[in-house]
Amino acid sequence: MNSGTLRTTKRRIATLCATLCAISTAYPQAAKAQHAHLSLISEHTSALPGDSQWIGLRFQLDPGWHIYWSNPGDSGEPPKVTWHVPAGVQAGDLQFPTPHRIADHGLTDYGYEGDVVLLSKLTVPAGATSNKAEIGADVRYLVCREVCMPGKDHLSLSLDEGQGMKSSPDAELIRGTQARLPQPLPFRAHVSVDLRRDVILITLSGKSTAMGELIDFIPSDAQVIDNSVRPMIFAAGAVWQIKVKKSEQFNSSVTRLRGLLITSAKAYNVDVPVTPAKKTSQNASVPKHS
Amino acid sequence: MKQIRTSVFVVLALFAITALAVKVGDPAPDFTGTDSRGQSHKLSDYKGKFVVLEWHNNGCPFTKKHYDSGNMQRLQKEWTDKGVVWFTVISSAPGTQGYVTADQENEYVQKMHAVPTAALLDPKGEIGHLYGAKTTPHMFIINPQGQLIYNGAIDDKSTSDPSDINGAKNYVSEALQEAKAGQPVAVATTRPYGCSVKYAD
Repeated sequence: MNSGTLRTTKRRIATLCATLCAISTAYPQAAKAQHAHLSLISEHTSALPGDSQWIGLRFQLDPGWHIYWSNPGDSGEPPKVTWHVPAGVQAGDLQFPTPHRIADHGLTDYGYEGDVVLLSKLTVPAGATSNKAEIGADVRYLVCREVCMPGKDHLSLSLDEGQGMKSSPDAELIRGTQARLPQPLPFRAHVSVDLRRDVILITLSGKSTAMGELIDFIPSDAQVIDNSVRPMIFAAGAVWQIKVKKSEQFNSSVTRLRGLLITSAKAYNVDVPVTPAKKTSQNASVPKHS
Repeated sequence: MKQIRTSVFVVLALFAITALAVKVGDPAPDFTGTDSRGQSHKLSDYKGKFVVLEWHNNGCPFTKKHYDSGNMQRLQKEWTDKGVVWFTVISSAPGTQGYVTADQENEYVQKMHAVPTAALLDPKGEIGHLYGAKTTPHMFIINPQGQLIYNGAIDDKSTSDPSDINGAKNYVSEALQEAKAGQPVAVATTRPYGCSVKYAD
């Protein structure tokens, strides 16, 4: 079954449910919204004392509609959540899987289409007396296609089944999403960043073949990089060089470059200090192509 | 190698396009626009006054944040009372969100109690492209000498949530206050936030 058919089937199920669920409360965690269907999912079916697990905010979007990454790019806004958890239980900051570029009237945004899960680490204290937890989430988001619609939902999830640690039916989806979270750079890889007049030069040395082919660089902060200019990528031996264009708003308050190096295999988190521009007019030395 | 050369050319071409956006410190490009009452306005005729340009789309959640709360109207009132010229500019192409006829805009202005000096209708996006207006709202300030002194967001809370207006640092007010006091504008370039301007593709 291809993803299109799968989505159609899911929508049929959703429609069927909308009819049937009117007289029951079989899916209390589901909330209705325009162009986005939100639900709260978990890795395990219970909240055991001392356990930590991923919970997820799942967005199933109508075809062509998108939501935004933590840095939305030129327009838009990332989803925001306020968690409601029992005393002592902690829900961590939202973890966003690797986004992709979205073109929008000459602007470039970063976000997701289709089916996406944003994760949060749920930690239950070891001294907790119950293995049950009611989790609530107030979510605000913007869903856009040609136009943007603000959405607001309250989602809830009951972790209350069984004494042992049991995977929920959504565990696989959560683990799949976890695998798409950006990762730290491998130990041997080293990144440095130099400022030139209009460009920022990122150099990664010590790359391995397991890191795949470099495809893109996406900034974590606004006002640093011109989103609409694709990075220039040079690969030579164990070195990658990436030239990105500074944004119009770039100023001297930028002391670190944070972003994602996206390769054919993974996405890596980069967070490095920037070296101020040198006085010389020399161009950056780019490794010779062999 | 050929591939690399091609991408170099593509990137250089893109650099050239994006370099067209107006920069703070540059002379503000002159334009003539027609407002919703049918009156024509030439920017250079307003030399000697501060001019604010506010990009607008009445259906955009970020624009609604500032109009439904009355924030934009308050700013328009405050600064036009102090002699500032305020142009709301609508660059949505026909058939896109935010496009309005002159009558529709007059109705909107009346209903929302908006008080710009005028609402300029720019359905071809000419003024929008001239200034490189990216989002709604995207704000520009021009000083009495005709120089661009601010280019960016309306404030420092880049959300569509009206509850974020209280406590936000309003860049437009700060820039106007500083410039009117003869001081340099401390924060003169910021990332505009909002919806994309709905130009004709």
